[in-house]
Amino acid sequence: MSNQKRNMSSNKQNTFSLKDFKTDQSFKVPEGYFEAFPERLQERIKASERPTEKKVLKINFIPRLTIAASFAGLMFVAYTGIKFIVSNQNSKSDSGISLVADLSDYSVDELDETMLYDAYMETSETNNSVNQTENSSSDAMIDYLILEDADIEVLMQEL
Amino acid sequence: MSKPTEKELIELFKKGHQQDYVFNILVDEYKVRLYWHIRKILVNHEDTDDILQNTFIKAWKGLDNFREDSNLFTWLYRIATNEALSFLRQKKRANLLPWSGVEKNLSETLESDEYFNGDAIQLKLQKAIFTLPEKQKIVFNMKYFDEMKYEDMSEILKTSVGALKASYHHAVKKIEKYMNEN
Repeated sequence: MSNQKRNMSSNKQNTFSLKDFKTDQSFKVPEGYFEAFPERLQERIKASERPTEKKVLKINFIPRLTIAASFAGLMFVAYTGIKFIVSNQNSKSDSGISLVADLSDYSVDELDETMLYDAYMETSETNNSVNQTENSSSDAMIDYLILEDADIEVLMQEL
Repeated sequence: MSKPTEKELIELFKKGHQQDYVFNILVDEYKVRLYWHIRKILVNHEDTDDILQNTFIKAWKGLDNFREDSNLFTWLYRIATNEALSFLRQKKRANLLPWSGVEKNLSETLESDEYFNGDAIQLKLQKAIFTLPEKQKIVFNMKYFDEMKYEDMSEILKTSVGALKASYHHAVKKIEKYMNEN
């Protein structure tokens, strides 16, 4: 019993308690650190104020450069794209079928009814004049054959 | 001539009168306390120095907009805490480490740190603190080492006093368990 009590009391003595433990300052600083600190701090403050001006310049300048670069890039992409499309169209238009199709599309789209009628009348007149020319030339031929006293069979062929 | 109060110094700074001089007074007032607060989070002296400077640079830039109804001390502590935690998170991301990896990393840093002069038990205590979750560790450090009031901690960490008390209680239990089992 007395042994148990002794053990308990020795355990109690060995138990660490923060209340009983008074720690001295276990860390230290380089000699003269606190005395020199204000001067070093002032230098850092001055140094930190100088780059701030540069930073302001950067802040104003960098987005402008970025915008300009983006715009140039966009223009390049647009130019390349347009160039590609145009070259594609040119290669297409080289084939005769598509050219005719394009032209006929263009004519139908562009001409109104009046223009179509005029165009039709113009074509009819041309055809008539061609027929008239043909008629007048066969009359002359008949007159010529009569005058030359040609064979009746040749004359009949002309008629 | 009496020493100007903190409020008067902030007013002078806002008016643009002798800003360097005024700011140096504030730096002298808080540099030591903020240094140790950051050092306990980051362990390494060089990292702490860098973050302490970042803290004051942010304070320099933000002092013009500082609301006078707030406490300068808690405002500076909040900046320092956020800067230190951001630094740790960046480090974790950069090395693709889980939180346990950061803890291991801090332990190794401590063992090889020329600016750590604690004995074996102090080293063990630090290692026990590293096992705590991020926020619990900060709560423990602020209460145990800096002996800060819960009300001030509440303002700095934007957490209720009740939650902070519970967090500290759990932290103490975990540390004692670690110290007894390892």
